[in-house]
Amino acid sequence: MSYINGVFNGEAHPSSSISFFEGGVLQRFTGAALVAHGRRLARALELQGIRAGDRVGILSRNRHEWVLLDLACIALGAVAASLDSKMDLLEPGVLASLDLACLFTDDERYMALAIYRPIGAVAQLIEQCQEPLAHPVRHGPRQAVCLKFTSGSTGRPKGLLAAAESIDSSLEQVEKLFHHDTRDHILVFMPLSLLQQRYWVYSSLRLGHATTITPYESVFPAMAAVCPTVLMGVPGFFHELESLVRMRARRLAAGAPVEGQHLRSAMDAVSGGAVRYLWTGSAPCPVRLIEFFGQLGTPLYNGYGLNETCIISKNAPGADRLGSVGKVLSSKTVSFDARGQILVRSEAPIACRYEITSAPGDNDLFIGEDVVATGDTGHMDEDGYLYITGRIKDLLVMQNGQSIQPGDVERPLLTHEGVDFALVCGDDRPHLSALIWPKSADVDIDAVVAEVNHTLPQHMRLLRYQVMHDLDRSDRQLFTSQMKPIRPTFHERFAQPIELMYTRRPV
Amino acid sequence: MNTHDQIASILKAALDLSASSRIEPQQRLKEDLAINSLKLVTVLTELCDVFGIDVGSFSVTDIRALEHVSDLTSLVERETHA
Repeated sequence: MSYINGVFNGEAHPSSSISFFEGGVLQRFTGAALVAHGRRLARALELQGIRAGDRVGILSRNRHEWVLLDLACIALGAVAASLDSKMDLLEPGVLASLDLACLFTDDERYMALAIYRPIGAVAQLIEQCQEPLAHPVRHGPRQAVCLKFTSGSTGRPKGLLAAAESIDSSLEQVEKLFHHDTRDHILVFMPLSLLQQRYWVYSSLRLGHATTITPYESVFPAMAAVCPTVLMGVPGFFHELESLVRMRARRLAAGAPVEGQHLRSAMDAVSGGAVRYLWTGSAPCPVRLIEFFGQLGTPLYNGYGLNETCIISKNAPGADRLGSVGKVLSSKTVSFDARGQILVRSEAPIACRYEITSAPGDNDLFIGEDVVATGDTGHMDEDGYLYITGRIKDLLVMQNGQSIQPGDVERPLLTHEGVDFALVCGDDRPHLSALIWPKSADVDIDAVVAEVNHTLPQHMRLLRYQVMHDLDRSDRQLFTSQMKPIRPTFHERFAQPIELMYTRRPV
Repeated sequence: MNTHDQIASILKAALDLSASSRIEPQQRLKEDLAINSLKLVTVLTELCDVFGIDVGSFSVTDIRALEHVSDLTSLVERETHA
């Protein structure tokens, strides 16, 4: 039985539970109860005129109603348009491109819209509708389940209609690697607007593990309250978890040198002490961070995927190689073009085009029905582990004709403990330079650059740099939802400091 | 050590600042100290542990309203005197 079709056309696993944590309060539902509420909500929406194929906008922080709306859309065959809170729906043209039948949101800016529905009213809709939807839709393999968004190079969102079979395929592959069962408890704190976060609801209903959902602001209290076995987060989150663990460990050590036992005790105290593994991806993850959690006995598994492909490769128990993004899933085939670009063929593609585009050429990355040109460069080792080395679009061609992958210079900078972020420039310029955001004001960036330059071949060394401050990583014009820098925007936004690096004489 | 000094000490640890760095009440968390939303949650969690505040005490609204170092002090004092 498919995961998606199993939600309403099967039975929820008797051990399945979905909980919601906020403000110190944990609200727990059995999977069966949640499905029953979702089916009544589907009927309520049907009575309001929502039909299969209609797009139901959901724009809200993580909450109980978000999940109910998602389930109701699945039952109805409607498309859940999972909107990112950073999106501005009032920007000209955006709403028209989304073509929403209604918009459930906690954002009062949209109250004046005819399609506005307060998300808080979902409970009332269910209360008023005692009968469930008579015949939940059975999705065909290519039928769209949701509309998911990704940042475009212009900063405006692009939307993909995600096919049912792609969700099933990804979940089946994940289970082959991680074997979740009724002993697992997965904590979801990244936005539910990311489809992958909702996977944990579908898998709980099928496999019987527990899932707790919380807004990011409550993640650490939630960890202490529910003692999760699995945490999924971007590398930036695991940096913060490391920071918290180190602070706690220093206090436990009470002035003595911090040792492994202090770090392990601190990790147990912060995480609840039951973590089986940690999942990361979406952005480059420093090896140092993976080593840190590995030493604590809570392995951090790095992986690789795009919005357009879902998971491509993943490190996992028994198949984990430091520095790689894991082995390619059996449902994907990876090849490389002449420029070293990673091409991914999917047995069950998410989509073969963007339904909503933000700029001409957005669909160029789709090659035929089932291949995506990732834009990333990489290689595979003899054992099948994939390594990401840079972005094909990012290639810098300097005035001397030398081609440089900026990631090759940025990676050693980013793995330095004093550097928060770095962007290397040099396209059509005489030499390489970098904008560097230090982690704190007292980092000696001169020393950092000298140290990194020492490890690089002559032609890749930085001749100038500019120390920067105040980088907002939540700015969707600067970073994609996968936390990759949108280089044209960086060059536009920081044109002045970049120019300064080339008008001053190199040292 | 008063509340501000204790908070300053936690901020220095969270931001990897040296002990001699100055943290002033009027400093802005985001603009002056480069504390993003991820880091802010880390800082608040540590504050709760140090001051013995129930970790569930802060609402999302409380957190989103924080702008200055002095706002952290007020929040902690509100909870410790509650």
